[in-house]
Amino acid sequence: MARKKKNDNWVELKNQPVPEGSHLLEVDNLKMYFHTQDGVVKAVDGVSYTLDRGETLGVVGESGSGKSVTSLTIMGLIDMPPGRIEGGDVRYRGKSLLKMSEAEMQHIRGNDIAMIFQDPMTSLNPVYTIGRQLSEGMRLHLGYSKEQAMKRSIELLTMVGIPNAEQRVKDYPHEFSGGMRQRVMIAMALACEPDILIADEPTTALDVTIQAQIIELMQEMQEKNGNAIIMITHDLGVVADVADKIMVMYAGSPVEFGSADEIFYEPMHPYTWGLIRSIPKQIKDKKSPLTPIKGNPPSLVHAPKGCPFSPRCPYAKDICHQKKPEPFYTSTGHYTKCHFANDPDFIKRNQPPTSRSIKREAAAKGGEA
Amino acid sequence: MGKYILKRVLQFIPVFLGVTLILFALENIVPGDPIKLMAGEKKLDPQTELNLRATYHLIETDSNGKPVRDSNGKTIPTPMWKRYVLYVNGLLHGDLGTSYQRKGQSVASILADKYPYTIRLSIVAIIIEAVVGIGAGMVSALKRYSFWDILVTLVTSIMVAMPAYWLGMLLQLFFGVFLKNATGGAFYLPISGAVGPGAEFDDWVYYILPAITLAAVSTAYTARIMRSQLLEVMNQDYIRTARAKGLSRRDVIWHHALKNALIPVVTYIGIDFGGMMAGAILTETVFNWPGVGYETYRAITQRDWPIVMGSVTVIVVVVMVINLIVDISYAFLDPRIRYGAGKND
Amino acid sequence: MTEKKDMYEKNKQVSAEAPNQQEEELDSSAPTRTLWGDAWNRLRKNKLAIIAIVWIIFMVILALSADLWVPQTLGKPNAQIYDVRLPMSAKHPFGTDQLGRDVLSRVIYGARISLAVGVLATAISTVIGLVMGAIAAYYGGIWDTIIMRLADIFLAFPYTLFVIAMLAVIGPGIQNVFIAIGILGWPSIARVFRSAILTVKENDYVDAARSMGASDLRIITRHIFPNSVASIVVYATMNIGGAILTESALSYLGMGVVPPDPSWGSLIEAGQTYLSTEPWLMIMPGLAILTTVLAFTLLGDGLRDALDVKMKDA
Repeated sequence: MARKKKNDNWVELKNQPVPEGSHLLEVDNLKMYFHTQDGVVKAVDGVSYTLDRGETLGVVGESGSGKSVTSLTIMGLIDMPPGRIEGGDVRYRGKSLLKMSEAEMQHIRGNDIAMIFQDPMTSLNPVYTIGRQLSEGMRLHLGYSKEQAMKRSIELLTMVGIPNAEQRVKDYPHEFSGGMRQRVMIAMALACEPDILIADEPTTALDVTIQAQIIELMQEMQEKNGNAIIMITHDLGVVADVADKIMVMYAGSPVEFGSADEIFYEPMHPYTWGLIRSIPKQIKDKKSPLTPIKGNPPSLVHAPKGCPFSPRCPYAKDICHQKKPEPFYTSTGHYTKCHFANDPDFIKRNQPPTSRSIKREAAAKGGEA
Repeated sequence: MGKYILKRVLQFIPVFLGVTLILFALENIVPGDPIKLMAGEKKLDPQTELNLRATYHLIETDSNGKPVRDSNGKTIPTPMWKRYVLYVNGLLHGDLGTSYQRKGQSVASILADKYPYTIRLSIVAIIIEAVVGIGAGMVSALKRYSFWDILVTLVTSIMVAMPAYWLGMLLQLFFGVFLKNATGGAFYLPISGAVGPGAEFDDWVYYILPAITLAAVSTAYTARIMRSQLLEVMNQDYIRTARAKGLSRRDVIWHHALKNALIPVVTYIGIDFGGMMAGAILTETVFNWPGVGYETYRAITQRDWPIVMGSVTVIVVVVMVINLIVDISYAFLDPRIRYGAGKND
Repeated sequence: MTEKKDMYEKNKQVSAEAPNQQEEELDSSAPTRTLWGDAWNRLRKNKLAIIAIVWIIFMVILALSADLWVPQTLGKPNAQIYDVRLPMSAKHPFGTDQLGRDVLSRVIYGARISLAVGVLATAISTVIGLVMGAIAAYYGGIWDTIIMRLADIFLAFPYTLFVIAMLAVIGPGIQNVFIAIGILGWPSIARVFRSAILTVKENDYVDAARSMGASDLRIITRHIFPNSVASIVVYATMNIGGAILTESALSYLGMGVVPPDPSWGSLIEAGQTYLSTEPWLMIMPGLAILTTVLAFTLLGDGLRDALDVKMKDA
């Protein structure tokens, strides 16, 4: 294990205060395109959001919507080429990550921003023990000795709820179950107490019963460490309870961004409506059919001329096929990219019934009776 | 682990019996009487012939080794099964038999003479194979689609399609003839193994061309396997995890990718080493190399069956033992196998 | 990076459905929308595989038509007996050998033997291998154990030694060469076919066929064989190259084709004597082996990609 000599001039960003007027993480109109033989794939096309410590951002979208690629771009884990940054910026504590050298980025990864992945079965190296893989980051970033790192690994494993941790650090990944491995991944990601934890579909590959445990564990750790979480998922239901903010992505760019309440109770974009309609509801006395969103996400090479969602949007008018919509902001910072976002009637008419509006309707009906 | 080794050793028994049985069958289908073959042109007197037949267990003998005669005073040919049992019994006692043609020389002593040359050549070849093969495969995978990648792919394709003995001759032509002429005899490489023990043979330059020839095809395969393995491993999720931890590309390659990619490559090289221990008939023929392969080939053409059977038996045992060692070391390299776990659980 | 891949695949799907240009291209190949039709479409785009096919066809035509136009007589020396070991010239593009025979003619006639041995030996080992593999995989149990142990025994022999020993027993000569190579080549084909069958056997349609009362033979020939034929074709193609190499090695050692019949291996052997003075005598037949084997390997690679067969080694 080659330990990197710490550069004396290097300022530990984690310990610096966030500069006045900026956020912990600011993604500002980020654009990252893949240049392939088939053409330019606009994988990340104008993503913006901000994130502060202790907050959880949910990023929701279908596969291919660019939600994972956005995070990988922030982490600098996209191979360039074929990828290329086409515009925008990512600032962490006021410093641009995109302008950092590879060596500086290596210091950020795992230390300031850590990431866990979808499939815990394949995300751990099969030929090394759990302890060795846990230690690696701490030895690299915190300068721990082998013994210190091992001791801390045991503490971390205990903390994420793995019994008999002293013995388990000597085990290999294949000796753990899927849920346990994801716990290991969380312990590994949190080893250096990062500011931001990016979780890329952390529960998709797990049993339903385990999913809730993992989400709870991440929340518990967040309360303890105060880190921010970016939770990437294709399932709006997963982020419903945990996210403070939600960004709905479609074809490489956000179509709607707002607080969790706003997204669930005041959704403004037809695509978000579609997502909400396709969540199975547990209302016993009323059977409402699930409404899938028809069609497939568009090609990112030959993107539609107008609104990317227009070919699948049931409300699309001529203007939608002609012109890309500009973001429409509400006073609270909730924004959406839809030509009709400024038409409250249109929204009210077509918005799916949310639990809040159902309650309202029920109250109104009760009042009538 | 112990169970696994025991299982492998037990599996070895039927294979061993099968191999000896096939060899034995081959020997007895071969036309021609071995004693007449031994005698060659000259006539043997009947008593000598009788003694030889008795020595080689071709006729039944009593406890003193004297031929047993039936009521007509004729010798009794030993039944086939009994000769096989005697042969296997001898093998188990380390007796590989005696050469028909090299009078008095035991097969064991002939092989003991020849094996060092084969082993030394194999070691040099395996080093070339490991270093060049793994190195080329790594460069090819890490600099994918580059000039070097294309070059490696091209050269390995040609190597695999090339008769190894022909490559040996091309090497002789270039390093032994062309270079010698071009430099006026100042620089060249020896093109022959200079049969027989002698000081000149101990010189390492004698190993260069035969070892390259012997290693060529396997090196190409090693490079290809290494390339495809490394490319596959570099696409694995755990490599992304390692990068997300903040490891440098170099650390990711050397600590996370290589160990995984090398497991099948090391297995291939190990099994290949077993194959080389069988003696490289073609390489040894082209370079006049006094190894086991050439000796066995010579014995086959001269119908010297004790040598053929003895050396093939030894070769098969050596190859199988090496394969077993490779399998066991595989288990040590890959923890998933060590604990008897499947790949996906 | 799975998402990135998803995205590319989706792009492919979408672009294959939508734009008009590509639709037309697809239309031309629409009537042959079968496994083989698709494979051919993919193979067509593989330049190396096409070169390989052209080269193989060229060699086959050359070998088959040799009697019609190759002027130099074989077997006996040329009329001008003193024209031995001539260098390359317009009259003798590959020069002449130690008996004054035209080397080009001998290389062309050598192609006959090499190609015949390659194809016939592969055919023999494929047939034996298929039967053995089918029995082992389909009936399993004791049959599987016996056949696979037998395969282990065969594979435990050093291959070249085994072939030589076999030829020592049955004697040299072209028929014996392809018999020996053919018989000894079955274990690897049997293994490939066995695992192919085991994979196919898992599929539901085999159970369905059995539940409908189909006989074993019918299930193997109608359901299992067509589904594993792709891997067999790929394996057999690559095997032809291997058989050609083995034949040349045997002939080089003097255990294969007997002179005066020309084989590429025996031509190299004959040329080895004049390595330092007339190197083309061994270089030319060697190049013939190299290009032919390379062509079969490249064709095998191309077929593997086109038929989407997964093979363990590179």
